[in-house]
Amino acid sequence: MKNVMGVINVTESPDMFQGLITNRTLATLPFGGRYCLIDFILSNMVNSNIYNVGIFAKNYSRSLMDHIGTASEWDLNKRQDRLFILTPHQTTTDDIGDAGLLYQHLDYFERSTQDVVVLADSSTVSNINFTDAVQFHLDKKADITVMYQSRDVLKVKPNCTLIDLDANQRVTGMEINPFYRRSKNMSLKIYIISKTLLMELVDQLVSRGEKHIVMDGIVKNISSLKVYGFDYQGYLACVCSLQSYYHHNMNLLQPEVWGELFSKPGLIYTKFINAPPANYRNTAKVKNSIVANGCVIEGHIENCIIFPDVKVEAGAYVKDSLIMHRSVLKTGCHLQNVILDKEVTVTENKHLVGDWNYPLVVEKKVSL
Amino acid sequence: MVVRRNYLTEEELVELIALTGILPGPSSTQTIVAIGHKIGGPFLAFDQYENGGCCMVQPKRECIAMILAGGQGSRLEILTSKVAKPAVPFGGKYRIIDFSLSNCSNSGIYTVGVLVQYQPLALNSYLGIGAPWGLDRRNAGVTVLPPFVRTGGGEWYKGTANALFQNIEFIEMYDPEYILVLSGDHVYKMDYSLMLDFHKEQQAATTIASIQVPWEEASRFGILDCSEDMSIVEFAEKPLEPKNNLASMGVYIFNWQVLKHYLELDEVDTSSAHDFGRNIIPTMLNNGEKMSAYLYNGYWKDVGTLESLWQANMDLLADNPLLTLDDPNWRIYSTNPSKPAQYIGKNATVSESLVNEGCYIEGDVKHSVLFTGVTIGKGSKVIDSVLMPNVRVGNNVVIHRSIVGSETVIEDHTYIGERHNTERLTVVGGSLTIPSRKELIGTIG
Repeated sequence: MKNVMGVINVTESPDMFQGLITNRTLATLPFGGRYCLIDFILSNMVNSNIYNVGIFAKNYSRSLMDHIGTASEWDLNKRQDRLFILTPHQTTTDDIGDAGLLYQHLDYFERSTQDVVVLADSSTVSNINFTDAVQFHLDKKADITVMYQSRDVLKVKPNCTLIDLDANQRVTGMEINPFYRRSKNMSLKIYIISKTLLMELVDQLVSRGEKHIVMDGIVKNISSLKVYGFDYQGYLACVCSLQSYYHHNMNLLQPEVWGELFSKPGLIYTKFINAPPANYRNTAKVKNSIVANGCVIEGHIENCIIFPDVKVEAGAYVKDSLIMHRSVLKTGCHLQNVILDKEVTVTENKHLVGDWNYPLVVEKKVSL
Repeated sequence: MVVRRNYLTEEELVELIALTGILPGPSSTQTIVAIGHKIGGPFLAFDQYENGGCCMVQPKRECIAMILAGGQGSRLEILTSKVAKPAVPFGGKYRIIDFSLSNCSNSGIYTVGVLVQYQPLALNSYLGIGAPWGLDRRNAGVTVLPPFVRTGGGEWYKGTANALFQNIEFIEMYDPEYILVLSGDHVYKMDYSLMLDFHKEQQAATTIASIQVPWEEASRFGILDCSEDMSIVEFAEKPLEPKNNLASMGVYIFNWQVLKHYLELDEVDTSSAHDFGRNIIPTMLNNGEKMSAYLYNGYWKDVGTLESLWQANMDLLADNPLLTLDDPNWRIYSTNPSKPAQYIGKNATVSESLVNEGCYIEGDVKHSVLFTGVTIGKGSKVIDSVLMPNVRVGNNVVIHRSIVGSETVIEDHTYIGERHNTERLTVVGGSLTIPSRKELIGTIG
């Protein structure tokens, strides 16, 4: 995989997350107790021996820069190859799209020594090794390979890309965010493409005034390009809305899902938080929950994901909720189906109840 | 130093210190920055500030630390059969040496030599380039110093003093004014920069950190007898009838030139055990060197025995522990195992415990310390115990008042520890497989 580089596109900011991504990108949305969404794709790349990774961001995002740091946690701070964060040259209010952004950084691609690009966004949560998919791409002599997963449930999900395949795994049709579901093959939004073709595509798009690589570059040229689909069989979660974000977090409480993500070879790396082990006091009652380091638990927790440095006081009761970093839950409060963003304080005897299909979101640093 | 070297007049110094006092850092840094400003202008001052204020000429350091980590730790028995004592896990996510290293880093001492000898592999790979403790620095950092062969032969470290003697070259490379000698097997949080300030204030040749211990335990320590101004009058190593309860913590600051002289004298003395406590300190005292005791108030524990290692872990579980691990101003750093957050199962109970990331718990845990990657099966009970990294406990196991070494697998229906005796500790070594339906007490290795 020495010949493969990674490109992670974090320019998308879907609007279906209530207050959760107003001050951060989707990429840095906290997930699973100690991770951010981008950790999964970034770790997958590193675990597939991809060490030249470019993150394309729409603007200079503090949450992203802070999370990535020097990228040493992902081993992407080496002399030979490393992590690059690439933002637009000028901040304009015009949307230049991902094609426009890549066009501004064609130099980066020219200077990279690799010939194949894995192009992805940060919304997929999985533990994938790209070696097989890249081999498939090379064997098929494909122009582009789309990773997909077939699902029997024909439930319409927002922000999905669906593909149609012929018997030869060749992609015959592709639809982005359709309202009705006409195919059971859901794209992982991970594409394998040769570097020269990607550069050519970007150049063509921009010179024709088009903006989006997948929509304008791939979908519109689906018949003229040799596009193949690679079937990915492992666990996959696509975070495309608040509901799916909430449900996929909760799914981690199922041992099979936890195992698929964390017990397979290939660790998921993340920014190191220097917090002591979680401290359970003698009044603590914890059932079926994920708890991160630095937490002090005195209260009652059931079916929850608790992020680092959260304090749950004695007499607090939390069920089916996501509690993010440094939040404080005081005595007597009762929370159910709630997502608390970072540094929220819930004072004594407050009751907050959401619904399984519509969790209640409390924004960052709010004190209730 | 300032007056002797004639860099500044005392008046200027006071003025400049008042100015540079706004810079964060120990007062030594501020002094050096002040001198740098006088001699070399703002650029030299800035350079010196950036370099921790410890250099006159690159790479001179005001103070460097030497950590004695070569001991076999034979009293920890099977826990140290594969690793040196300072690499023994402690407190759910740390190793014992993390405390000394974090103290150095938090005290602004970034040049650290670690003297290793016995089973150095785990310790070497753990220390790496010192990044977790912020010691991966351009002109400083952590250096592992094993004994080595030179022209005319080489030899093992014969004692703590000899270990330093053999590394005079390393120390001279930094041309330090002071040298801090630490032991790698104590658990405590201490600001060495305050001790260094005290040492300079006292104009001592040696300062020994000391702590008040209960009278009945005093005969286990090196006891210091002091005059009112904290000058040491007498030093007694493990006295039968202690005159005082002020014990040496095994933390020393020496003026390097003075220490070097005594190390050289000690080396040619064939009757010497080449030990700091038994030889160097008494000889210095007999020769009338000015020696002071620095009084430390806080939690300090020598975790050199199985009982004290277990007790120190249990101390962390108190309602208001004396040793806090979550102090944002004095972090204890450790490596990152990159494990997911812990999972507590549907029928699990966890209370009065410290549990680290990567644990997967389906049984009952009470008053215990669980390190990274420990798994506990259904129906199992862990009480008053310390389970080191990646211990796998099967179903319906009971572990009571025990320490279980790293990577050990305990199969279903096993009973570890004594059922009735509440005093005795059971210790299971690392990387073992304990088969099903066993009942084990005592030391298993």
